Amino acid sequence: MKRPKNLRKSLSVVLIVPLFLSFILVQLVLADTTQTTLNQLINAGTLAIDIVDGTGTSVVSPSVAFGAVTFSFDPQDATGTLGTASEKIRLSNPTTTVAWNVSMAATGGPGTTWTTGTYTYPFDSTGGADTGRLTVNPTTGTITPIGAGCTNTSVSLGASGFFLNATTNSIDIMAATTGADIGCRWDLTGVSLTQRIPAGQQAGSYTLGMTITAL
Amino acid sequence: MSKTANKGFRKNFLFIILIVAFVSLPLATMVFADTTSTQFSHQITEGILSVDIVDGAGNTVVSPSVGFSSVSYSFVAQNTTGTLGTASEKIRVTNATTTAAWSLNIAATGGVSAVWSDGGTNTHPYNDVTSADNGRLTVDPSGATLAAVDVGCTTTDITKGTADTFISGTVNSIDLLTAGALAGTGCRWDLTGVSLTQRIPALQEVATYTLGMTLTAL
Repeated sequence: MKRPKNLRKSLSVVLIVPLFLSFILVQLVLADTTQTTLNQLINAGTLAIDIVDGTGTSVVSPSVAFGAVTFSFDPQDATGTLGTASEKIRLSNPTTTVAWNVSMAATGGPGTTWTTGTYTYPFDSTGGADTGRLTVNPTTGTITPIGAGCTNTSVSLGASGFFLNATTNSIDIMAATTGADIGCRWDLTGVSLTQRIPAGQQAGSYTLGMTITAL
Repeated sequence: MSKTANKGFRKNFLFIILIVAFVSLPLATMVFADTTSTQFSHQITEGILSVDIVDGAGNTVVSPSVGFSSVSYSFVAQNTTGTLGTASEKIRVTNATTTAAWSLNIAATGGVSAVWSDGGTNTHPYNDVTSADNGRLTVDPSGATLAAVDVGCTTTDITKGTADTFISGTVNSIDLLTAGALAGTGCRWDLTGVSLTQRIPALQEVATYTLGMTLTAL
């Protein structure tokens, strides 16, 4: 039997309308939006002191070699420099606290001596300068801020001083006060060191461990 | 809350506060302090062994000399005597090395052929090979005085030489001091009172005679 033409037309409309509606429904089901806020917390770091090379890498075994002297029957000076292009003293302050201080003291504490393993002499003698004293003079030093926006404002060099057992056991070499930048690093070089060597001190290679503290 | 319970609460609270304080102190230190270490070093190189003639203050004597006793013209051989090393002209040995052993000797500056001379034609030997009466110089350090100069230094293992006479080709130098392996290093010593005796040949012409001598430490 041949279908009537109107019936086929009606059937097409009935099929197309649900199809159209289903597209809209699918869209309504599969699309949605919402909003969120990203949070990021940056904690303050810690105050740190290090000795770094020219590229900023930590020096594994830093050292300061004083100028060699020849045996003498008179007291004499040996001089050296703490902080060089290849061994810079780097203070890092990633904290939110502005003030800090860098000091230096013998690793072994007061009464430690320069030693060859056999012969010794003091770095902090109370018996007179000529019996062995180490003078530290930071005023000859240079402070260089590292990083954009960092300056030397309110960062200063320490005053010249010498170790004297029980009286001066540590010497300040650099300090920051109110007004100094935070989130900055500073390199210190050129601190003058002078060791007075007692008369008649035996020939040899002498060493003395020193610790630099930032706090 | 009862009075007893309140007291217990306060006690616990105080305890907690103390614990917190105790723990936070090291943490505060950890946060605010950091250290780094470095090794200082220097070299004292050894000095040299040296000998000098110094005055009472230890200063070098520019033109040191030894004046022998004067004698009169004689038809027989005779002696003149002197002293090497006096309060104003001390023989100072300095050992700034790390080697303990050394020796000090004396010899004529002009060598074995040197002679006492007045600068002209008058001369006589200090080391004649034929006979003492022809002219020989005897040096006797045995009675001399040796003194350590520096604190902590001693004369241990340093011996004075024995009396000896210059004879050309046989005794061209005479030891005054010898330091052994146990002698100190980084020390100075002053030697005084070395006796000198010159045998002057008979009939030696009247004149002022001189003879250069050299002290050597080695």
